[in-house]
Amino acid sequence: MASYHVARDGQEIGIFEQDVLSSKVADGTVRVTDLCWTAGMDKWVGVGQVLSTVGGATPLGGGPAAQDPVWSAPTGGDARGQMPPNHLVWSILTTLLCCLPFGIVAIVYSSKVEPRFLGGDIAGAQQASAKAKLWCWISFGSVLIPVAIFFAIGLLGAGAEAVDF
Amino acid sequence: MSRAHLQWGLVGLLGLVGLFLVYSINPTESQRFPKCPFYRFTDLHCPGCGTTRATHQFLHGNVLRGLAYNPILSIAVPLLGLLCWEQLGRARGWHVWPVARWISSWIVWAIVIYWVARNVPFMPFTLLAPH
Repeated sequence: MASYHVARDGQEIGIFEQDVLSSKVADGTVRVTDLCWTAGMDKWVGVGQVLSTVGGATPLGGGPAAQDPVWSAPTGGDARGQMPPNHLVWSILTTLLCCLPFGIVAIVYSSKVEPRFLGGDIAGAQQASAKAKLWCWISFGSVLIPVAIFFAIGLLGAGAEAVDF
Repeated sequence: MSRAHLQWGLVGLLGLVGLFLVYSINPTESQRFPKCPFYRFTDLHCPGCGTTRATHQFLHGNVLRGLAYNPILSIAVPLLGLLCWEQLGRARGWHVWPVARWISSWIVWAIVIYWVARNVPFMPFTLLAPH
């Protein structure tokens, strides 16, 4: 059973199973004008559009959402419908372990991935994801390279005390 | 073996080597670990200052001495654990609490405030600086 992310005004308001979506509309939690998305869809569509396709309260008999024509869903290797990775773990790690301000830049971009994606800005989310990754590497590299040199000198015993990094 | 497995294997291996070095060499007694470049150039502590020394103490079981070097780790380590749990859960299709979204909403401010606070030269802020 597919679970739908439902968003209004760029903010996600909840995640609902396909079979409860129509009852959520009935009780006013979700509006037909809200946007929704589930894994396999390449863009957000109106809740009303989804409900009219799946036939209101009648749950689909376990059919995969991706086969529904309305969504013109990508199949196979197309990952446009997936939220891009936010790289938040690496951003925080490189900030703590590499201590140059580059890690902060990575965190700023990481933080933008999910809000953009949930707001329907998939290209923007992918951009933020790519930039977060780039800045993680810059942060990591900015320390890894000096560390590697430092250790090489230290382990060679060539006067580690003389090296004043 | 897939490319992802290979990448994670390599990351894990490097991590273990790093932990072993930090375990076996005490950063306060050795010149082999590089000093924080930010501290070196500005004489100010960055949010990560003390992490190597703290990790050394953690690996030797001295949690409180470790936290004295960088108290933010008491928050950062559990958060990183939660984030990993969220990623694992999402990959397996569980319904997980949106940790990343929650963290994203405040983390940049938290780090900037911590960065400033640990450089304020009087109590209680000095407790945040490595000591």
